[in-house]
Amino acid sequence: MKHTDSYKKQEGNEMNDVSRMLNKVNYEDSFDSAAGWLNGIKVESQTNYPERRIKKMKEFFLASKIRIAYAVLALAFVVAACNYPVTSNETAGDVLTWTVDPTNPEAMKQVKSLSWLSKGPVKVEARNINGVEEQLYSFVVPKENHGKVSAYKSELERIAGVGSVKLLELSQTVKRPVYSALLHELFQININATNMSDDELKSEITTQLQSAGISGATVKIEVNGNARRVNIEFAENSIPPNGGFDMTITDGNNLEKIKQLRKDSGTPGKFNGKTDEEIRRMVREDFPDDDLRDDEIQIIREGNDVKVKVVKEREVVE
Amino acid sequence: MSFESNRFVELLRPEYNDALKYCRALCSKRSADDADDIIQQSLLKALENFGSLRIEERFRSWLFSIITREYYNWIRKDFWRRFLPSDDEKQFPEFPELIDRSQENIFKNDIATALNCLNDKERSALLLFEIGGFSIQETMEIQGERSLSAVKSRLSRARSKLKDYFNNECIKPANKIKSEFSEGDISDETYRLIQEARGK
Repeated sequence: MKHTDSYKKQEGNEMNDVSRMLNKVNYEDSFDSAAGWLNGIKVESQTNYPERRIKKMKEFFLASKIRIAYAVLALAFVVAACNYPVTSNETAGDVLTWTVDPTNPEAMKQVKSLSWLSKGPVKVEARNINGVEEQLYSFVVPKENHGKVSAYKSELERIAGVGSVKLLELSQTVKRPVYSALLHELFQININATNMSDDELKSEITTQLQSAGISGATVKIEVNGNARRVNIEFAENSIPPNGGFDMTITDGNNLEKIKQLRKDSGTPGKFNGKTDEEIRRMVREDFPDDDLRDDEIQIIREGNDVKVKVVKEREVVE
Repeated sequence: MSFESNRFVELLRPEYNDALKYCRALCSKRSADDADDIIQQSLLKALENFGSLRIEERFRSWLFSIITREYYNWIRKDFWRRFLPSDDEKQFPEFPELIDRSQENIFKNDIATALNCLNDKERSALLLFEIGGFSIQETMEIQGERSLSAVKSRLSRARSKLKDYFNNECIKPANKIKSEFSEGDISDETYRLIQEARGK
């Protein structure tokens, strides 16, 4: 027994006793059977790690039925948890109501010529309220045209002789699985713009955004050499709180990813009295993973009010 | 039989007895079956990873570190093992019995019991340094520690515990039990024989 370092070896009786005890034991006799056993083992290559891991995994599960049972139970639990229904409110459509004076032929003509009136069911009811004749229109705006409903309302309000324009949002309680509810929060939009003209691409983006419940977006296509750049400007409050979308546009060999984030600060006047630098720092703290550039944090000052928009458009891969 | 297996067995031959003794003493709290399982798993792992051993001169410390790691893994998995069916171990029916059961009585004496006073890491450090002849540096590497002082203090604690044990510190409970024995019964006789063997 040799010790090379200066640490002193214990020479007390206790260690001698332990040494003596172990010296009495001799396992040399079993060496031949161990050698025979070891020589009979087919050594597996250590270089093929993935295959070895799969084999090990297979062996692990096949070794015992109870392991398979545990694995199946765990899988069933995960599937059940993902399919567990959660309740969420969803827009089913909108109802637009207005009244028209039937004695005003110009107003009647303009209302009847509204192009969108043919896109949904319309109910016209003639009423007499305190001796005043009027026609009450009820138009159900389909869910897919939810984004256009504000435009319809403004169009009606511009017609002289049209009154009591009211908009009622129809919402329904929907039960959907957890995974579906999560996906619903952040819309995934994938567009293949290869062979699409600028106008077609613009229209496709607008349609996709509208079907995702985002209205009032202005889409601009800028051409830079062979590459096209998509610029989307959103109307205020057009993106659902705590929601957003993740858009991927494939255009030939180019890939553009646009991510729109929106987060309700929850504290009115949170940014009031702050400098641009302080606001940017606060926003970066809210979106720590997004590595936001200064130009992606848009600060709009209106008197004492400060509005902040975060637009992230990145990752152009050629 | 491959060249690799042959070379492994060749290098194993001089270390075999010490490796088994170390493993059995490490498992002093456990049965010979457990020690057998650990040494078999260690040899299997050592053979599988033999290609990664670059310096054959380091075979001994490399083998002992595998045994130590296997032992740590074994005790860590002990809790989960109880949930597995009893026929789980039948997956290796061809494993030979390497620990000679006829020598088990040696591990039932007071000295072996003294090793049980130590925790797993202290027992491992003490056996590696005092019995295995490894240096502090090697013991540190085998135990997967990062500082020499950790091993030194572990060794110091282990020795002091052993000393206390042999000074009857650790067997105080047995003395308490003594008062409950009736003179002449089997427990009393066993206790008397132990005391005589100690020369008291």
